[in-house]
Amino acid sequence: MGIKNLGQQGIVFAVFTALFPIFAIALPGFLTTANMLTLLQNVAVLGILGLAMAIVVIGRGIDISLIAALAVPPGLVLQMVQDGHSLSISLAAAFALSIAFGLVNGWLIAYAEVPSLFTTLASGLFLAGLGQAALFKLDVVQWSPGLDGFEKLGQGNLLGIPMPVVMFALACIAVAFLLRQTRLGAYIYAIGDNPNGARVTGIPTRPIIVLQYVMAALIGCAAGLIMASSVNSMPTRIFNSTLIYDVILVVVLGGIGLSGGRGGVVNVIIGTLLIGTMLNGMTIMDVSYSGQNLVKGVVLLIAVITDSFLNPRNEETAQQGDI
Amino acid sequence: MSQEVARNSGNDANGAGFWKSNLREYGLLGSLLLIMALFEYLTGGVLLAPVNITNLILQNSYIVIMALGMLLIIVGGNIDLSVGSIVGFVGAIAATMMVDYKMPWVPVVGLSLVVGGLIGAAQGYFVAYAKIPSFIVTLGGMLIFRGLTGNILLGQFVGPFPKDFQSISSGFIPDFVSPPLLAIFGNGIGPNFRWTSMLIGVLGAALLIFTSARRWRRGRAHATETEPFALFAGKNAIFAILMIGFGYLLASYRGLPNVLIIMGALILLYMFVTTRMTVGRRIYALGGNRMAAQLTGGTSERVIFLTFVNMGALAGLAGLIVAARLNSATPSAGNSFELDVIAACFIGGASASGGVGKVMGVVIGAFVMGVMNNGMSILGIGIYWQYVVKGLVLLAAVYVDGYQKNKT
Repeated sequence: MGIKNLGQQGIVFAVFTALFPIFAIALPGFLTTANMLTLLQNVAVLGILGLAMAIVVIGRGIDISLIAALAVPPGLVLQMVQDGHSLSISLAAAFALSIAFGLVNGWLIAYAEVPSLFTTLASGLFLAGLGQAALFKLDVVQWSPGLDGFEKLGQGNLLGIPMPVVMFALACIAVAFLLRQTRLGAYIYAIGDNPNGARVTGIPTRPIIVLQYVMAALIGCAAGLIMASSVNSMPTRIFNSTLIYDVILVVVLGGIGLSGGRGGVVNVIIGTLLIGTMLNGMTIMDVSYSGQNLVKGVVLLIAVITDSFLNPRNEETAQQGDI
Repeated sequence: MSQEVARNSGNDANGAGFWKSNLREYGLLGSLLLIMALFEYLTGGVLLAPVNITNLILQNSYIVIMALGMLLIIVGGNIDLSVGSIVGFVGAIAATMMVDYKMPWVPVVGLSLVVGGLIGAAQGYFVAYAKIPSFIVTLGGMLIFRGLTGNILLGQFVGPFPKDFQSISSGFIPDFVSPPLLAIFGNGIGPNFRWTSMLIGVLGAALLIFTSARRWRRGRAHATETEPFALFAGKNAIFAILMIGFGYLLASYRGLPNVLIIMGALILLYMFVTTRMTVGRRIYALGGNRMAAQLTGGTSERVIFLTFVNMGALAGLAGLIVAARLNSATPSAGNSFELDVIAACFIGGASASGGVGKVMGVVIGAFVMGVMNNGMSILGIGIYWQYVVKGLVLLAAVYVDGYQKNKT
């Protein structure tokens, strides 16, 4: 495989394999078991969100509302249990909220034909606002005794592997199966590759697009539950953070083109590993928050520019609908 | 005779068609008026109080200014997520030059605009010539310039600025004609009434009626598509009343803010560019159908590149205005402005698929958001309910866009 055929995921993986030993040698405390576990644990939530984003992006969409979907339904679970409802009812309510949210997103995008960027921008704002204004009493929804046992989802471990990592692995397998082994997955690639073509050949594009956003919302909810149970609370103001850009970074760096129809779970894993390693290394080096932003931006640009030199776009390869 | 009848009926059909195809524009203007009336009622008259009108303009000027650039970007089929970070970055650079290096403010303003333009040029190069999707390029730009802003300011506020610089944002136009008019009208209307501002409002309204009446009559004479008379008269009457009314309200406080003059001049300039200049029409052609635009000649790369340079310079200007308003550069200046700007464009009728959108629509869109923010703040509605309402309004706007697209 020559450098011409390397592709972006190859470049990113090469950067990761170069970066990892450098960090391991240069940074004391990087290559310890404890730090490796922390690293994996921290990136697990990011990776799960990346999977949700990947499902949408492969179908040529984007979901900016993912952080709202991460924060609000799990926050609702914590709040309802605090108010004395049982855990199962609370979970059911959260899933119902997630599904409803995904349906609204999907309906607007698939049937009203509103671009996904704008739809999810608006719906995310709406859901986050609704959560803060109507559902939660405080900015941070605290853990309550009714949830005892549930924190194992975030803090337990299976054969020594932290639960979030296990969940990330399970989610990877599930999404990989969905995308590669089922008819639905093939349809999603077809829609991302050529929406009109997919529709003409008889694929029910609209219901599938709706389904993508419902799945993204549900995966977002699951990621939120894992996050909440690993820190014993739900900081609902996370909506205001730049987490969504990290998620997009994972997907784009991994090599899933925003024009859709390309990439898969492997790309998400590669992107997550690089971002996770970078963030962890920079935290050990005590790089400031703004410095981290700077590095993330530069890395993103280098990755896409290298890609555009190795695989130049022209009228044939550039698809209509590239954002 | 029969010809006459035919032309009349044709005109009538045209009128109905015009009404239908421009429903969105009138709907937008109507909703702005409705929202203003609603909040004027709910706030018990505070919304349209002179002080608050002044605030409203100061608060929304930079969003409007950036929305003008963003409109061209979106019409060309791209997006720019980095504008908020450019606001912060240019503000930080300007503050460093003025406070740490004691540079006079005039060259600083010029340099800042150049810096903004250069940032836009860098991003535009990658989008237009290297053909990297604008979403990714400007996402990277957003992270980079947010990071650089933090590194320049080191988490601190840099200020204060010279008085003249502050007055870009917080100053008001000087009053020339007051004493003689004051002598004529006495103190009946108040000693501090700014007659210059009032006069500008009246002149603006007269100019508007004059030019649009001329255009309308010429359109009628050439039998091109014109609005029905009632609609035309109603629209212009509303605009004229608004201009005179706001002129009066502002005049009874401290006069027209400097920012309003900057904003007004830019709005006129961009209206001219988008409707009368070749480069403006080219952007619309490109966004409408890239292939066709390339085949009919003209290099699409350069036009797209220029929209980004323009956006960068406007974001730089907005950065100066924000810094002048706060009287300091802060690391968080401009945070999430990109969302407000994009929202203003979208409410104003710019279509995300490119090729559609008008300057006046975007300005109205920005003020729809602005009036709602301001009104809800006056009413003491929590920031989170404001998110809910904003989200709903945006959803309604995007739904209307999709609905219209499906109809045609």
